[in-house]
Amino acid sequence: MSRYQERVYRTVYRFIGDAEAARDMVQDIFLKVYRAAASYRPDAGLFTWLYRITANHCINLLQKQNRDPLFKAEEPLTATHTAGPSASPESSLLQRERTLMIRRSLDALPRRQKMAIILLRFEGLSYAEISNALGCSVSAVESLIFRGMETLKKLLIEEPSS
Amino acid sequence: MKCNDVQQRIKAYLDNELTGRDAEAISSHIKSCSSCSQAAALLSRTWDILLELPGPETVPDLVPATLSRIPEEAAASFLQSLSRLFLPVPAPAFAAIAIVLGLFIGARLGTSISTRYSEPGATEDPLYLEIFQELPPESIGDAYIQVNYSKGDEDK
Repeated sequence: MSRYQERVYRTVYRFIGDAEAARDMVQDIFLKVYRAAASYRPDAGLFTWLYRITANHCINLLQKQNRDPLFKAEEPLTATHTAGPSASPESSLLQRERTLMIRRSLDALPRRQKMAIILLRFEGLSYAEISNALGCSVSAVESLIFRGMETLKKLLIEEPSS
Repeated sequence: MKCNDVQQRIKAYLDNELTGRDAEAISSHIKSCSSCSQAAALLSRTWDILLELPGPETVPDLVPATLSRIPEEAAASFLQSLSRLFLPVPAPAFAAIAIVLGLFIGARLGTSISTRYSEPGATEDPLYLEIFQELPPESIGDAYIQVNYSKGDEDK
């Protein structure tokens, strides 16, 4: 578990943007893995299988709780979240606002689009691997990423102030 | 290839997910079309901005906390499987079965207890006092019987 928890935690954290909630969710995910261990088939890569459980858990949980987005905008961002410890207060503030804007834009996406983009951008998965994780076809992944990127382009570049 | 079709596939092209003719067609279209070239540039910029989103500061070790939950998990799954056993039985039927079982067990237990504790040859006559006749002489019970019943006899 210690070998895999880092990737799972990173994915969950990026998906919900809340460290405390991510900790609980990763534990729940590994309990699901423990429960489903008997159904694991070695022909599917272990990471693919783990990402599938992770993606399902994140998407379904938010669906159930209707807490999308989970990110708390008022959560204090620490030095590593801002421009760094040596940055001026102004640049720290600007960087913080920018980070919040990216976070909110990502949270504005439908859950599956958001997960597809996180797996592609931050975890470096291929479209085929994402299709396994999300349980859909490669062309469906292409479509999810295209639509998600169109929304992000609007929110981050074309009309960032809205 | 039309611009609309190209723009729908630009991201996949930039991600090196397209091969062969598809990749070539999009590549040559982007080179000759300023609108699609601009769309590709905007997508790349958006893609770069996403990287500014910070990851977690540290990754906590969640192994001990997760392992400590496994016994609870095992107990919960045991209870779950038990509840699954009873799930197909509707509540009224379950209540009826419980009552019938209770009556049956009660009747069996009652019979068994009464058989075990009843004296052989005992009678159901409420005035049956043989038990008192067996009291050892000069015991408290014998004294009680002597005092009460001898007095009564004298009165008669």
